[in-house]
Parts: sequence; C-alpha cells; structure tokens
Amino acid sequence: MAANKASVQKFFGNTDLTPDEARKIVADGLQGADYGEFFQQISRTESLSKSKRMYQGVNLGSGASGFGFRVGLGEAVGYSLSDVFSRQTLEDAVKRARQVLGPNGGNPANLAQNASYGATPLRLYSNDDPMAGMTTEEKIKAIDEIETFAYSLSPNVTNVSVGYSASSKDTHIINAKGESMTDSVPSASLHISISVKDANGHTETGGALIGGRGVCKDVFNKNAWEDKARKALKVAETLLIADEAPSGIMDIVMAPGWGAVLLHEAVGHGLEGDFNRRDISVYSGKVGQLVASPEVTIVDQGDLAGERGSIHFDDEGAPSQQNILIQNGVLMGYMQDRQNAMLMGVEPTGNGRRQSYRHLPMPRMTNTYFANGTHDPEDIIKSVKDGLYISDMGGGQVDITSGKFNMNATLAWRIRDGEICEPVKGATLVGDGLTVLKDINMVGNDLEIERSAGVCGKDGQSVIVSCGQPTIKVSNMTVGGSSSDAPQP
Amino acid sequence: MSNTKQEFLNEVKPLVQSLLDYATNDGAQFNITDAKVTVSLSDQVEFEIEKGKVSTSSSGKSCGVGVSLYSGDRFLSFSLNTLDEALLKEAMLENMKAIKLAPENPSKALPDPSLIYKGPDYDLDSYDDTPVDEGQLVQYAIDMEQEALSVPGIKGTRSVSVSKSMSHLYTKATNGLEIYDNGTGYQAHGQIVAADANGMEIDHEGSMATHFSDMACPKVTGRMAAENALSRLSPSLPKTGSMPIILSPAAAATLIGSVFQAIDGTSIYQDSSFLKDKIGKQVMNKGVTIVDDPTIKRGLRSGTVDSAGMKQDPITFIEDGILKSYNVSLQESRELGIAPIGRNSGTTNICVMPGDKTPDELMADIKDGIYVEGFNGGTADVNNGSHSRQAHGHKIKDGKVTKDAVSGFVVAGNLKDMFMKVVLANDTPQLPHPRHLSSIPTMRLDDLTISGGM
Repeated sequence: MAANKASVQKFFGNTDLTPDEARKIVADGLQGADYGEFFQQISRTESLSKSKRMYQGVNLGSGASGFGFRVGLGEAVGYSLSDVFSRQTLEDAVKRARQVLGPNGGNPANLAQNASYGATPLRLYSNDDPMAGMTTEEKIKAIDEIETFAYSLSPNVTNVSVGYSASSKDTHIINAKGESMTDSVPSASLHISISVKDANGHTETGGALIGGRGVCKDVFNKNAWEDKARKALKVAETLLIADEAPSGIMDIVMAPGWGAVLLHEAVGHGLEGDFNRRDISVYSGKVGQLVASPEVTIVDQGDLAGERGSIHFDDEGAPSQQNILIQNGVLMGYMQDRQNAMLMGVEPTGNGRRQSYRHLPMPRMTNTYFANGTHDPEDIIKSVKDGLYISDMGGGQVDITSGKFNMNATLAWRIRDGEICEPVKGATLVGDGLTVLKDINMVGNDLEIERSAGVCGKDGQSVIVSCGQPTIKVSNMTVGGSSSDAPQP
Repeated sequence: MSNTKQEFLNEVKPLVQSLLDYATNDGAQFNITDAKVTVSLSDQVEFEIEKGKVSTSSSGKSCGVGVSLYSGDRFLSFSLNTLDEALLKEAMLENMKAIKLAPENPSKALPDPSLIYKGPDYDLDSYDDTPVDEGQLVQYAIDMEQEALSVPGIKGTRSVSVSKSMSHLYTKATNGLEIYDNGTGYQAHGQIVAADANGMEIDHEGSMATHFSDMACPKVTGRMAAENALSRLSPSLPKTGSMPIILSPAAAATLIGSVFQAIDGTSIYQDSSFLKDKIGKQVMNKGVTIVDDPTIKRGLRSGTVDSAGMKQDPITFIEDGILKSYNVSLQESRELGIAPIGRNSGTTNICVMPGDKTPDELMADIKDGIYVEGFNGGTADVNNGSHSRQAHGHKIKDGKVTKDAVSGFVVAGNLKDMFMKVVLANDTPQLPHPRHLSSIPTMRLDDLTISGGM
C-alpha cells in the first residue's frame, strides 16, 4: 500500500467522512463496472510577475480542490464531480455516475479492474512543498535582482519581464478494492524575457525558462538565472539581425532537446490509444510494421527520475513505466489508459492522465524521446549542403488523422556546405508524421531531455510533459518562411 | 446549487458582504484600503455519443471565489473554490498580513466610483429559462452522429458531444461596484473522419447558442461536418509561389485575431506591436471597418458592463482602414495614459462590416488561386509582422472554387502588408449565429507567398 495514514489524512481535513467510509462508498460504487476510480485533488499555486519595472501579478496562494468519481462499462463512462468533499456529495456523485451503467447497474459478475501502485516508494521527485524554503520577501528580492541584472546586460534592453510560479498538486486515488494511493507533485518555473531595440527602432524579444519538477529554490538559483538571462538576450539580439526564413523544401537539422516538439507532434499524439482504438490515426493498425527509418527508436517513459513529465502513477493509479513505441523503425504499441487498453485487449501503460478532478483521464504522453543513434552531431551538420539548423523551437500542432503537423522555429540558422551560417526567423516546419519518420536519416548520440518547458494540450486539457532528442537530420521537409529565397533541389 | 437568480443572490450576497466587512474592519490594522470579491457558480453537463449511445456522461457543479485586496497602491489577489466562509476568511487574513510585502503598482487600483455604470442593463436575454432535459440533449447529439455516419465515405467519429452550462456571477467592491450576471450556454460539436484510398481526413462542425432553441439543426450540423471531412480527401501540396488567396470566414477570423493582438494594450505598452503609435493612421485597406458590439440580444459575448463595472458601448476599432482605438483594459489604459474604453473583460461580439461583392464576385477574376478553409497553427508575430501559418483549402481555377483539396502548405507574408490587402465580401453572418462567434465575411488577399512543393 503506497499511502500511509498521514498522507491520506490531509485529504480528510474538511469533510464529515473518514478514509474508511470513503473507501467503502467508492468500492461499493464500482460494483458491476469494468473500471473506474475516485480521484481527489488539492492544488495550490502562487505566482509573481514583473514587467516594465512594475509588478503586474501578485498571487501568494490560490487553491482548488475537489473530487471526481468515474465508473466505466465497455465504451460507456459516467463521471460526476464536486468541489465539496462530503458524504452527501460523494454519494450523489456515485449515484449520478452510475446512471451510465443502465438499470441493472452494469454486470454484477464484474469486478472493476484495479490499478495499483503497490508498495513501491515514491522516488522520482521530492514531495516537498515547492513554495517553501524562501520567504515572499526573498522571492520578490530575487525577481528584482534578475530584472536589474537583465537590464545591465545591454544598453539596448527596452523591457524585462520576469514571471515566477510554483504549484503543488496533491492527488488521492481510491480504486475498486478500496485501496488509497497518494502523491504530491511539485512544480516550479521562472520565465525571463528580454526585449531589445536596434538603431532603426526595431524590437525583438527573446525568452528563456527554468523549471520542472522542483521547488522555488531550484528556479531562483543565481547561476541558472544568469545563464538564462544571457540566453534570452542572445536570442533577442540574434532575432534583430536575422533574415526572414526561406520557403521551400529543404534538409533540416534539429538541435538536441526541445526540438523533439517535432516528435511530440508528428508522432506522439498519433500513438495515443484513444485515436487508435477508433482507428482514426495514421498509425492505426500498423503495430509490427516498419513505419520509420531503422535509425529511429522512440520511447515514452514516465518513470525517469527528476524529469518534467514524470509521474509515479497515472491519474487512474497505474504505475508509470518505460514504453518503447517504435524500435529500430518498427511500431511496437500505443500509449494507453485503462478504458482504451481494455477495449483494444492490451495492458494499460501508465499514460492515463488528466488535467484535474474536473476532467476525465485519457491517454497522454509523459517524457517522450528519440533514443540515441550513432552519429556525431558535427558529422550530421557537415552532411547538409543547403538547409536549416533549428536551434530554438516554439510550439506545434498536429492533425492525428491525416498526420499533418506544423511547428514554429523561433530561431534557426542557414546551413551552407556543412557550415552553420546566418540566422533566420519565422520558419514554420510542416509535414506529415509517417513521411518525416522515414526521412529521418541521421540520429546523433547526444540525447538531451528538455527540463524547462513543455505543456501539452489535448481536447481542452493541459498536462505537463517533456520531450527530448539527440541531434537529428530530416530530409526534404517543407519550410514556410516569408522570404522567397529557397534552396534549389 | 442555487438555480435561480434569487436563490443564488440569497446564498452569496451575505457571504460577499461579510468578506468585504472583514476586509474593511479587521483589515484596518493591515492598512487595507479597498477590497473586491467575486463569486461565480456554474453547473455543467456534457454527453459524448458513440455508435448511437451515450459513451460519456459527465456532470458537475463548480464555484469560485476571487478576492482582490488593496492597500494604497499595493495589490494582492487570490482565489479559492469554496463557499466556506471560515476558510475564505482564513485565506484573507493571510493575504492581509502579507499585503505590506506586495510591491506598489498604482495602475492596479479600483476605478473611481464616478466611472461605475449605474443605469439600466441592455435587454440581452442571455439566460434560457426554458427547461431542456437531458434526453433532448442526448437526442441532439445522436441525430448529429447518425446523419454524419450516413454520408457515404465517412469512416467514423473522433468525438460527437453536446453540453449545457448555466452560470451566475456576483461581484461587489468597496468602491461601490456591484455586478450580477448570469447566462446559459449550449454547445454541440462533431469531429468526423472520412477515408478514401489515399488516406483519412478529419474535420468538424458545431453549433453554440445561449438558448437551446437557437441551436442549428443537428442533422445539418452532422452533415456539414461529414461533408467538410470528405472535401479534404486526397489533398495535394500546392506549388510554391505567389498567388491570390480567398479566406473563408473561419480563416478570416484568424487574421482578424491578429488585428486584435496587434492593438492589444499590453502589446502596445510593451512596445511589441507594429501598430504602436498608429492611431488615426491607415493600417488596413480602405473599406475595412471593425466594430465590437456588446449589445447584441442573445449574443454569446454580450454584456452591459465590463468586469470593472464600466459601461460597454459599441466601439469602432478600425474605420475604413484607419485605426481608431487600441483595445485596452482599465490597467492598460492607465499605463498608456489614455481614457478607459469599457473593455476590462476583453472584446465582446466582433463584427467586420460587409464589403459590396458576393464571395463569387470577389474571386471571379482569379485564374489560379487558393481558397483557404482554415489555418492550423504556425506563427503570426505582431511585433515584426512575420506571418507563416499552415493552411488547408481548395484550389481556385478560373474564378471558381474547385474540388481539388490542398493541404500541408504555409501562407507566408507580413501582417503589415496583409492587413493593407484585405478586400471584403458581403457574406457577414448575422449575430447571434449558431455557428459563428463573430461576424466576419469572406476576404481576398492578393500576392501572398504559398510555401508548398516544387
């Protein structure tokens, strides 16, 4: 049993229920169902933001708490939630959600499948309060110091924005056996953005982020923010001298780390079980087939210590694990939650995640990455005659049915005859997943998993994720920029 | 939860007053000078349909309490989702103790009482009193799904859903502000997948309204979603080059979104918009007039006052291509040193005035072009104007939209030029409209770079 008495107790501070009473109501409420659970959450956040030398937002502690009760039979799911946790609201939620089971209350012979984290210790990240360890005065002083430092970096700086936020998300799950599981998921982040103006009055802004599964002290580390402030300035200054990106079809090389937004969009979403259960993803029905170049191995792994997308167990209670999605080009399987796993006749993979108790779980990524290949990154760049080196990636979108995706390269560099040359901005990379996977013809040996950034949205729900990759080369990618100077084939 | 206005107000008014009194009385020792409390309650139910049956039924009630505290120019805010007075007062006490730490920002202050609107409300009819039972909602979605699946070439659905929500909001502050607002909302949405020998394509269609009786016919919505998906099958990548494009009203709405980003108070204040200092200047093509109208009866975003309590009048932001006003919140108006415009909660119902040609006339002289059905992401940077967005649509040949689908290409250009190129058709939808949040017509833009294939 993962949860000890003390950690469960904090979920019962403001209710007329005891833990045993709640477990009994939940276990009884899941009778006749295929799957389901009680999911409770207490979250707290604080944030401070400063821009134009003024504090714009000061929030020293907001909170949200509540629970949802889910019951599932085959494809049918009943869900009912409440902000107030009491005997009355829990019993009402159970009654309301069970309506989906029909007049017979589901199949009386069913014993709802249980997800359980078991007795494994919580080990991937600390359960410390991310807001503790520094006083509010110290945080304000640190933000002022960062701002002063950023302005001091160049006389051309016209604005500095600094945003800090930290949140804790305590979760409590009760499964059909009446077992409780609890976790406390911390996160903290610090965003620095710097605007600079050139002699012609043009302004550009560069940003950098520190963050992840950590506490406020981690993000207010002076060496870390000094580095990030310099990086933000460098990006802004480079954007000022960068040309508009060329348009057309070209070879691209993606820097290690955050470039894996490509992987997340072009491949990751299409391998989520819900789309494949409905047979509407470009990857549907392709398990066992060669879908990528043999250089390509893709992993989703929620149990990496300290990574941003790591979770001890998913929001249905299933332990996170390593899932090899594509091995040497062959599609091995999909990411699953319990419902879709059951309907597809496979095991859950620890990917059933949700934004909060207000939402239903669905298959989501955790830390998704390209495994290391064999090439030296230098050799990859040298192999390109005329193309782009993508150093700073923004976000992206995908249409999982056609496989078409797009991503924004905030900052890229023209590669000419194997050398990185002038910077370009405003490039949008477009393509479709299956084609790109086959066109990845060099994979580097310098895997980096991005720790600072990564929030994934799907059907209106956001969850924290991470992605990573070594340096990779993709041939013949469509680049849309506003310059007409396209490389010749 | 309280279902009627009176029940809601009976429940929350004493709570809000007690919290404000607490700030005024117990807050005095912490130099609290002003406070504002907002309570919102909502009740939502949503159904997803799969193969003619309810696959997901999800329901719940939520509440939120937002508290802002002021001590001279110092400001703090927090929110909790409980109506428990003791818990709220405990959090207030913590924040009142901490307010001396909050840095000063005079732009955050509550508005002067003279700015608060006390007159009659617009007749908006935003709350649907007619009972709609869950069976009617479920049937609506079943009809949508069934019609979509009956269209030849349709492979399946990604989701078909319908929802109903009801909300009440009450705000009171020590400067005399007092607002009550309520609303109902219905939404239905279908994401439908079509397939042919060359692969699959997905598209969607939906409907939304404040009143269930205003929702579009479910069968028509389902059929439109199916036909949209079918029309996208077997797409080609258009050749890279410069050509005229027509934006569908949906794609045009994305471009109008960039206009509002470029005139947003924060972008102007932070010097990160190319429309800074352009009031009174020609920033869009002649003939383009953009009005924001909060007075539309049953409009999805209508409202008499903004969240600061100031009256929301119709505003002309762009008139015949000339920039007339930035879109500023109360705080942004103070930062920029201009008069507030009554849009502290953002824009309402955006209406682009119609041009004088039909869409067919607008494209009649295009030999080769692209009809853009929609944009799917990419960037449009209002700082430097750089625009590069992925799009999908159909080829235009000899003045007519063809059945040849195109996708996977990028529309590239600079927003500064694009705004000046906009020519409008006359097909503006009348609001409230069951498929449109804004009233935006078809548009034509000449000589844009299409990044596609060779």
